[in-house]
Amino acid sequence: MTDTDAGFDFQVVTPNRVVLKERVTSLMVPGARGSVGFWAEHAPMLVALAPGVVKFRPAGGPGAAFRLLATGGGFFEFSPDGRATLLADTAELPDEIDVERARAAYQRARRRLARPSPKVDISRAELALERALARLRTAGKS
Amino acid sequence: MAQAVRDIRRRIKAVRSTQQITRAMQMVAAARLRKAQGRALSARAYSEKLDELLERLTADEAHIGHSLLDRRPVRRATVIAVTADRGLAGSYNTNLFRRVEACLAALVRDITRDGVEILVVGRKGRDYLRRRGWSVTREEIGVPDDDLGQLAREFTVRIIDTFSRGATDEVLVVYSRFVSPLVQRPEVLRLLPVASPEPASETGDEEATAPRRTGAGERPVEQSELEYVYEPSPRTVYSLLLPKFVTNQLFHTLLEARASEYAARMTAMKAATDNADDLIEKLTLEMHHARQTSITREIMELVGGAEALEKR
Repeated sequence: MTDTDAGFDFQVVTPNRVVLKERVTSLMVPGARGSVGFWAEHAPMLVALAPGVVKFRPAGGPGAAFRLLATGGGFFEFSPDGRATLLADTAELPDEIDVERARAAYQRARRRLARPSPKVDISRAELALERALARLRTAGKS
Repeated sequence: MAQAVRDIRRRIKAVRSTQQITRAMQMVAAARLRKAQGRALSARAYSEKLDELLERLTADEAHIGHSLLDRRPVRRATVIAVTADRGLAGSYNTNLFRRVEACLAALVRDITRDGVEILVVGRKGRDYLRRRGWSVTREEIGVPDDDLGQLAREFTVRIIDTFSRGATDEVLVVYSRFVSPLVQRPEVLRLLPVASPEPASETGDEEATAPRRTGAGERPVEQSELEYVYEPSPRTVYSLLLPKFVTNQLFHTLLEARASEYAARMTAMKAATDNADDLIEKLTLEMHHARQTSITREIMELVGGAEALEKR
């Protein structure tokens, strides 16, 4: 573990924009089958993501605090040259999150799941719930 | 005499107020175009990464036998026509209609009219196709620029569903490619079956299937010593990634279509504004002329009258 403190480049892109470009020392992404953590010099990897919270620690001393990012799913790549890219369907930093909307979405999804009817697409409602939860957690309002 | 001057003056006023409208439309189109270009630019990073990942997976042969790459004899086809909601955009819509018509004619040579399903974006396209006796399965009218991503996702779900069920064998999108603010070119892009980005880029049908490359060019796939770890399997990742690729391609055609529309409208309205200027100039000249003529005539009459009096 020599160079891990220097960190690595982390980029978050969505179909609409580049959300974040930052040097980080470590991060954790919500993989479809559980969280996966990365430090510098990790082996190349391509992970399919579930909706959830991405945690990352910006480079700049051991004191740097974790930061959060909500994603609605997508893919995460750690490339052979050591760069990390989050290819997200949606991604928002805490101050970009519309808490009211996320709350409403959360309630709506809960209601749908509580009373399943033939009209309700269960997996869609579950995904909506996950996305809303991710946003609320990221905004610190869960 | 004074009547003629008044008429011309009235016409100048009318032209001027029309000009105000065309100038406003020109400026609105210019502003929208700038925004649309900005959108396309900020979408680039995502597209490039997506293509790169697909290329790598294709190199790892995760694509073999994937159902969305399945080329079947075309018996039924889906055409997505991306047109504008409004006119006053020069030849933008007309050019598109011609391309749509050509595309449909080519399809109908081999399959029946009933085998063609049409999805249309834009009021103008819907009206045109209806007039020409085509039945439109789905129409999207008045979609705001900000909702194009959502629309692309919805359409993708739909076409992937129909393609997977075998209800369609080919999905084409007709749209206007944004070449430059002065040049927009109607084009046809095949969405399904997917022509996955090939690692060996010398495929023959590059022209037909991958017209919108944002200038990234063919970068050689890195021959890395390190093996990728896929989580879950390469095949699963690939089959999750592929629909995103289709969505993204469609999203880009929608973005380009909008940029083209605004550019075409801007150019058309600029021409109209300039024409109005010319017209006003011509009419002003005519008005001066008429005024001068009437003055001259009055003087002549006065002089004539005076002479007549003198002679007496």
